[in-house]
Amino acid sequence: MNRINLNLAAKPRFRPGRLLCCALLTIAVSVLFTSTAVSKFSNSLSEYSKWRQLEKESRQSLQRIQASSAPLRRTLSGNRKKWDNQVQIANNLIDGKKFSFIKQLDFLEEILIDGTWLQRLTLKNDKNRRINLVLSADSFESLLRQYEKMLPFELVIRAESEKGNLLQADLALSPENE
Amino acid sequence: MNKPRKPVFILISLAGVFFFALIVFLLSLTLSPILRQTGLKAQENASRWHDQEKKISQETALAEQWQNAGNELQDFQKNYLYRDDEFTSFRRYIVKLLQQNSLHMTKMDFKNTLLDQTVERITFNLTVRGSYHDCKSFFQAIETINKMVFFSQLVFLAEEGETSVQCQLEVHFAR
Repeated sequence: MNRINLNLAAKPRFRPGRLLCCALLTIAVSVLFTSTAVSKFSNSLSEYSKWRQLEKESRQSLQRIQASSAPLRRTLSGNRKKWDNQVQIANNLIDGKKFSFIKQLDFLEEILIDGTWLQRLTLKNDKNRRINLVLSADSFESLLRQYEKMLPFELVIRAESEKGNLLQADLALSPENE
Repeated sequence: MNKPRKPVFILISLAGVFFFALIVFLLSLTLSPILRQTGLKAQENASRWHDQEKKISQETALAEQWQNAGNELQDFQKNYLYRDDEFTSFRRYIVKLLQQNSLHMTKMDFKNTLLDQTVERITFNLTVRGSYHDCKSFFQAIETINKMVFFSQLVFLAEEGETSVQCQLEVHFAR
């Protein structure tokens, strides 16, 4: 049986090597902690200050542009409806002025063949721009040849009749859709 | 008696250094996300304000365009619409054109329409008689007028070797 030997009065033995190791380890861990913390914090801080700077610049720029453009935008919002209407009217007038009846007459002169005459012709300056005409022909053959020439222009034959020796046809054409 | 105190002091100092480092580390762990979050908010604000700035720039560009359009409209009215006091001179010019082209006017009536507060349209309904080529020459003269005057409808009728044309002539006046 082992003998228990407790001496409470005995002092712990001082070991300088162990203490040194412990001190070095603690200092190393502390340095590691501190450097990690400092690097992490400084990174976050620099990122934060970068965004704050950007935010400040954006706000200043926005305020500047708001202040400089305010009168112009006020003018626009005040006049927009009026100008819109006027521009619409001006564009309609320009469209109306651009339309040429002479061109349509030239077109008709070009496609009318010998043996046919116009009795009535209606030209309109609108988006549709269809030509309505009543045509006379001296023979059925002339009328058919005239139809053949008009076919590429969306020819619509509304009616045909006979008047004396002449044949009459009520037609519609779209020269724009050539 | 002094000998055992020194290691204890060293140990306590080491523990102090360690805890200080630990606290710094923990603080950085806590503060970094807060800073990051605040930075992200700042980034969001910057981005939002940048978008607003872009929108305002676009609106400003549009406003400038519209302001130019306003000036162009004024130029348009000045250059391409007849003035109120030019009605009689325009009538004289039409009569002169008809005479020059040997056309005979058999009927004329008018209709006024206000397009808006700045433009008034007068529609002349007139019927002219003459040869087809004279009529065409008259229409050509009207088409080449450098003002907002144009035909809205022409109805040609063949009548006893002559051509009769019912014309709707629209003339625009600035008010």
